[in-house]
Amino acid sequence: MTTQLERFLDALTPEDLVSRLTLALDGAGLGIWDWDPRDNTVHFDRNWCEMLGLELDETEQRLDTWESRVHPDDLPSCYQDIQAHMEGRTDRYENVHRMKHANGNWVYILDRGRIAARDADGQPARFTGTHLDVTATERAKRVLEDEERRLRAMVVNLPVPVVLLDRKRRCLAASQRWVAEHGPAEPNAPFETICQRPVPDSAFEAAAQGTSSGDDEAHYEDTEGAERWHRWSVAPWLSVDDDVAGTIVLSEDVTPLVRRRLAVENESRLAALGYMASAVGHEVNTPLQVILVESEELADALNGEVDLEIARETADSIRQTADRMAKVVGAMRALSRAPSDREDASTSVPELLDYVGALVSNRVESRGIRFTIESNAGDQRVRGSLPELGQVLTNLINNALDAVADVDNAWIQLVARADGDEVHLLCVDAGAGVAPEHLPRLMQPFFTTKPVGQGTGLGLSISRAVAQRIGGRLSLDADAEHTTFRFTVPVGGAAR
Amino acid sequence: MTRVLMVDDEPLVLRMFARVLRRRDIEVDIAERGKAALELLHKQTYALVISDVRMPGMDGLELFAEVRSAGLHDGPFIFLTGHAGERRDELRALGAEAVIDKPVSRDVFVSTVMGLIGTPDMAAGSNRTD
Repeated sequence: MTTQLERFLDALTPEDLVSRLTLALDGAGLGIWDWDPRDNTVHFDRNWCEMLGLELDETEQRLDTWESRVHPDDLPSCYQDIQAHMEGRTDRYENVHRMKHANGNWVYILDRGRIAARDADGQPARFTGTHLDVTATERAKRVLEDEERRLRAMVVNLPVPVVLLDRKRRCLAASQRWVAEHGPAEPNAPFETICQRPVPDSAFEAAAQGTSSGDDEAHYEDTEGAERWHRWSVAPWLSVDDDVAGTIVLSEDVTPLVRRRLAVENESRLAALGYMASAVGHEVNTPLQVILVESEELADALNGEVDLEIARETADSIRQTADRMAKVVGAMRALSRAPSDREDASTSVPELLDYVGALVSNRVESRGIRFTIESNAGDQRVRGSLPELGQVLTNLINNALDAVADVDNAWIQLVARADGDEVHLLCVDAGAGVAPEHLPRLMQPFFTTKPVGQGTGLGLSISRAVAQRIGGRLSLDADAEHTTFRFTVPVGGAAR
Repeated sequence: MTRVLMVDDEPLVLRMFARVLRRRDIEVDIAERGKAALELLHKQTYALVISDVRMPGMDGLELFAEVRSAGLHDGPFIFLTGHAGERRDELRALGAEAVIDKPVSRDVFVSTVMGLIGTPDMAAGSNRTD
């Protein structure tokens, strides 16, 4: 049975065949060589010559035409591969080498061939093959290699401890800072073996879905059991096909920073306690006065020296004063709660407003200043513990108190406004705002405009540190009509 | 009857001391602010003024200065203070007849008041006529 192709080929003349073959070779960009290893004559075709910028008519048909143009560094590998094929160790000869083009440039040639005939002694009599110009491909390969080297150099020299991982969390490259902090990170080493600090699986799972974790801080113990903190993040990197090809993991030891911050927070608690102590001095003095006198009055009543109506008033006076002290003590207790209770804490907005109200309303109103609280945040919960949030707000209100000291019809307003996944807590007062020259230093530690002995200058800087710790912000609304400090807090945390 | 004016921004303290004195047959007018006290002093002459030092708005020192310079009350003046300490001498120097540190026992308070209004030429209590 003859196929269609066979019928088609049968119909062709030998001239037709040659012309079609030439067209095909042209189309594929192949040049042909036909070498007789016995006398080193080589037949090169026109394509072969043109690939090197040579004229077919002027090209010597000898092996030296090829050999003299091969890059000296590449020639040994050519002969090794030729030898291997001649000795029957390979099915085919194949080699990529550089050749000098007539215009002086090096071109990359993919050289492939096969022994086509052997003589009676078994020696190769005909070795034929093709040349293909692969300069563009080789260049692209080199560009890629360059890119990869550049990427590696960048990763290695990044001034942060990062490691580049593949999809299976094996190490591709690590920065020197990583090696300095975490120890050696050999290529292909599994992530668990090169990082002893806690990075949650969930972050890798999210990265696999294309989501970067934000910067986060985690607490861990080092090999000696000492308490340490690191800042970490996991971000995906994508392949050309937009698939997640791996992750870039950051894990930086931030223990000194955290220790310093905790110290500031502690100092801030102490400062707040100090303020509290002076406020309490005043708060305690009044009840003490009441109890001291009323107990003497009550003793008279027991002796029958005064009538029962007066005795009842006396007892009521004592009870009111005890109520007032209980409130103050409750606020103090919340303030002195240990910081470790506050990890991942959240607080409901109404609870916060009540707490701050109890803490400051006496002091504000006793100075004849109108104090109002307004909220549209409902039962929303926000990040941060009651004492630390309360501390920021009482700080702001204390500042407001000083600001409105000389203002007629003074007022201070505490406002909670829900805004998407944030709640703005505003402390607005009747004052005229902050002097422009004070703005840049407003939140710096120890900056104060108050007379010596009245302010530590720590309040706003502490408040801002607290705000940052819980992922919030503290700012001054520059354009507001009245002085408005804005404490923005992320919504968060489940009810506990 | 002897009439005294008592000024304190703490209502509990104010009402308590007023009750203590009224039991001893002293008429007591009360004011929670310096300004309110001044208004009363314009209408009424008192045998004694007792005033807290630290108050919102016009404080005890300002009240004292105003009272003396306007001639509203030339009689004895007692400062009541919870924060006396270093200011005690200052308060004395101003010309107040007594400075009482809070907390004070009932008996000390009463005897200080009695001592000051007991002086015959100061025991005035009539309406101002000018």
